[in-house]
Amino acid sequence: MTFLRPLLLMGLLGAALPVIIHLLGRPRARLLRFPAVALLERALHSPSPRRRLRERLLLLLRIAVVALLALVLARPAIWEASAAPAGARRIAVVLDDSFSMGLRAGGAVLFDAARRRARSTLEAVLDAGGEASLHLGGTGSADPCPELTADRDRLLSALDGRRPGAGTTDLVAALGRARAALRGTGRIVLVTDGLAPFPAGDDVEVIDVGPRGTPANFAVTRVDVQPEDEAAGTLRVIAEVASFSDHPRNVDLALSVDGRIASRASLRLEPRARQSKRLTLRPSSGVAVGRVTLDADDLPIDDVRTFAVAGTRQIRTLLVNGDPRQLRAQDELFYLRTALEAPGEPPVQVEAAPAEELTARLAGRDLVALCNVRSLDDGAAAALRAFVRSGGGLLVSLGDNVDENARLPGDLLPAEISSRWSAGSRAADEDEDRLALLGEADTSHPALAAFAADPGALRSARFWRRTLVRPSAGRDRRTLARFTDGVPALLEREVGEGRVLLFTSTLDRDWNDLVIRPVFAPLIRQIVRHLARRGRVAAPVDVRVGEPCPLPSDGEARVARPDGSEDRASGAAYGRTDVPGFYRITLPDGTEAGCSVNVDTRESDLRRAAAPPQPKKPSTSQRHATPVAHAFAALLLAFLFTESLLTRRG
Amino acid sequence: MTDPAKRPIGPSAELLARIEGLTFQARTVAEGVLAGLHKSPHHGRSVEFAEHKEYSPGDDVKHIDWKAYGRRDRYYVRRFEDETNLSAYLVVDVSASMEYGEPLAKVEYAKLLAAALATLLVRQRDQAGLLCFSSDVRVDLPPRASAAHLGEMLGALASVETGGGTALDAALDAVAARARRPDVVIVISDLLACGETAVDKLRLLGARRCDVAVLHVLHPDELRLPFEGAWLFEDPEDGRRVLANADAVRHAYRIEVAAFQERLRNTFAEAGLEYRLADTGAPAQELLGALLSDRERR
Repeated sequence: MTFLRPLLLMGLLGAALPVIIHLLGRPRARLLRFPAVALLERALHSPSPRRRLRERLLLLLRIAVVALLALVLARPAIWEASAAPAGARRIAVVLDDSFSMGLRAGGAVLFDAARRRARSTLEAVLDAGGEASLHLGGTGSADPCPELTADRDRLLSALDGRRPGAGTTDLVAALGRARAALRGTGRIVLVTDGLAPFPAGDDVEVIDVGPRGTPANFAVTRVDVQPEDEAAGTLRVIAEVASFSDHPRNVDLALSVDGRIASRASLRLEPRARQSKRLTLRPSSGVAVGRVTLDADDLPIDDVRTFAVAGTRQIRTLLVNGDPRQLRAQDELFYLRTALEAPGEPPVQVEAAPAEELTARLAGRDLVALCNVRSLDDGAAAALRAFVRSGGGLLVSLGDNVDENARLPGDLLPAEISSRWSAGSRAADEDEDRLALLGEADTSHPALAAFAADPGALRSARFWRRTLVRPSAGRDRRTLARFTDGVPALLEREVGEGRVLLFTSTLDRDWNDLVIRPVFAPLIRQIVRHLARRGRVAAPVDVRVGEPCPLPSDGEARVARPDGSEDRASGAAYGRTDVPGFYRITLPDGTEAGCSVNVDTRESDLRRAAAPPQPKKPSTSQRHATPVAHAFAALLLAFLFTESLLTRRG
Repeated sequence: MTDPAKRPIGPSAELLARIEGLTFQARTVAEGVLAGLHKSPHHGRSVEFAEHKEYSPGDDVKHIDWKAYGRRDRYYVRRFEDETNLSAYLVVDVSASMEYGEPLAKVEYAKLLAAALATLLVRQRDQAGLLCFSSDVRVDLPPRASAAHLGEMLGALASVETGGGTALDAALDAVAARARRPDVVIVISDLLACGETAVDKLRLLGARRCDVAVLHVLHPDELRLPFEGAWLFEDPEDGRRVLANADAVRHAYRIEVAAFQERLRNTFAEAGLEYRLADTGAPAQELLGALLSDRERR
């Protein structure tokens, strides 16, 4: 036992105060001639034992209270072994905060023990009038006190606020920073679990807080996501689980999407082996966050692996009607609308509007269809250009209202409209040979890829009238399908981020019977899916803790971190990925993106890199004093309480 | 030492005033007691002339002897000697321990009791004797029933010197040594130095068919110890000193006082003697009233 402020032990003299007060407080006896002295003597010889005991106890308690107060103020402490080098006045403490320090061993977390040892080391040096720096040995952790300081509060508060990080051990770099802080004079104290090798030097003293033996640990080491059934929209999730144990064990696995459990599985893990499990996932719209979770072990941080998939989302379309009719079946949009509104993946939201309302209702659309629209005013044309260039899709179908004089934004179209050309009549059965069919089609193109296996399906429709166009030259435009007579049927042009498809016939029954053929619905949905605004959901990426998360585009992006906080990011990457989990990123144009950050499971293997150093019996100079004033303070409070009780009863 | 040449001849004015005061108080008490008893002690008594006494204020004018006035031109009061059948001894403790008490010392209270009893007895034509004692017998007046004797007793009570130790047994010896045994012995004392011998002698008196009553005189301070803080208590008789915190010892002291009274009461009751506490804080009239009414009932 020692005292950190021994001078305050002078306060022990105050223990005499109660006695002095007791003696001084005794009233001065006055003389009184009193006949019944004999009775008084008898009374004095038979005093109340309880009262006398209470008085003695009160006096002792008061003496003890004053003495304890002096002891508490003198900061009593007990000697404990310390890693503080003997006589060192300049030390750099390197605290391993890699995620393996979060291991719970023997009912306590390794990092808590490490923090206590680091604290006592720092206190020993600071009490001796020295200075210290504090460095962290995990990747992605910034040193709380990178330079030497004697500021006790700063050092200890920086230490007390630490938690185990999510990075791996990087003691080499941390020791380098510690040596830089010492500038050649002083010692380094390394507090670690001993799982990672490090180049110890003569100037490094190690406090090993690692577990005894090799604890068992299991981790989700990898998650792959592959398409499983495109028609059903399901994904195949392959989770790899590793055993870092010397014994076989069954583990339970759960797959959750956006916080809801999607499926569960069990695995039999052989010692030191890896095994994969296939799970099925149906992602929701937008960016879906998935987690593969193991039943928790003593190191929970690597029992979870996060991934993200860009799910499908609803396509919002605006159909501009160039030939509205009272009778629904004769309306220009009837067939198109019916085909788009049918249930399917992705769901399509359909709204119709006259050309005059195009500008007002363009916002939030992924696709605009101009169906037999003769003209657009300048404002609508300009809005449409901006819409397409920012990634919107435009489908233009022709008809009676559209000819070479039509006022459409020609700079968006893949071809110049020349003249209407009839290839036959509706009475197709009269002259079958004069009717046109869809002939050559580029089924490698995403818009027609669904018909790659059965190109003949496209030829089921008969066309008796089309509009002749002159395809314009350019690498960003091409003809996707032609009629059997070589006339272009479907043309595409890329404008900015968007795409424009031109269909040279109608999307009702006026010029063809395509709309009543079975091929129409899948064809038009495929076209819409292809045209719809791209880039709304960016493909998520997967990085390790501490690695930068690439941003899909420039500009300031909002980052919702997994710990619930919000951050801002600009440039090519977001770097503060110190917490595992999903970082949801919203780009300036509203595009959703994300970044899954997971721990590096190389840290999950809890085998020691080297045998732990044998603890030496500390010499006197290698001990440090651990304050125990709180115990004395508790005793003081108990005595005060008892004293007040006795006084009140008196 | 007082110069004998300057020593006053006869009773001093102060002593006379004290006698007057005591006489007046005793008469007041006696009248009060008699009024409480509702019985005239003079009714049906035959008396014979005993002496003349010069009139003094307070004397009953109906006893003025007008013939003597005619002869001597002074007022004289006729005094008679009753025919009595009772003799009583009043044994009064005037030791130093009885000097305690403010504003009324125990000894003053005891004298008042004795004077009132003497007055009552003489008015009843009984014989009353007085014995005052401390370490020795200081006054010893054998029982007589004359008014002059009463005046002598009152004078002795007023003038007796107090102080010294307590020798109750010696006083009782003196009472017992009388050729004519008294019918009633009334002991007025604080009994603080009452040893076993004195108690035995009281028992002996009782055994000899003597009606013994003990009036135990205690001051309220002695009963309750009302002091606060520390005191150095000194015994007025033997000079013993005891340092004690009155607050601390009060409870135990009261228990001791109660036990002391109880012990005396039991001891006297076993011997057929009457014991009464004479608390100087209570009116003497009440005590005497109770004493006499009990005796009337017997």
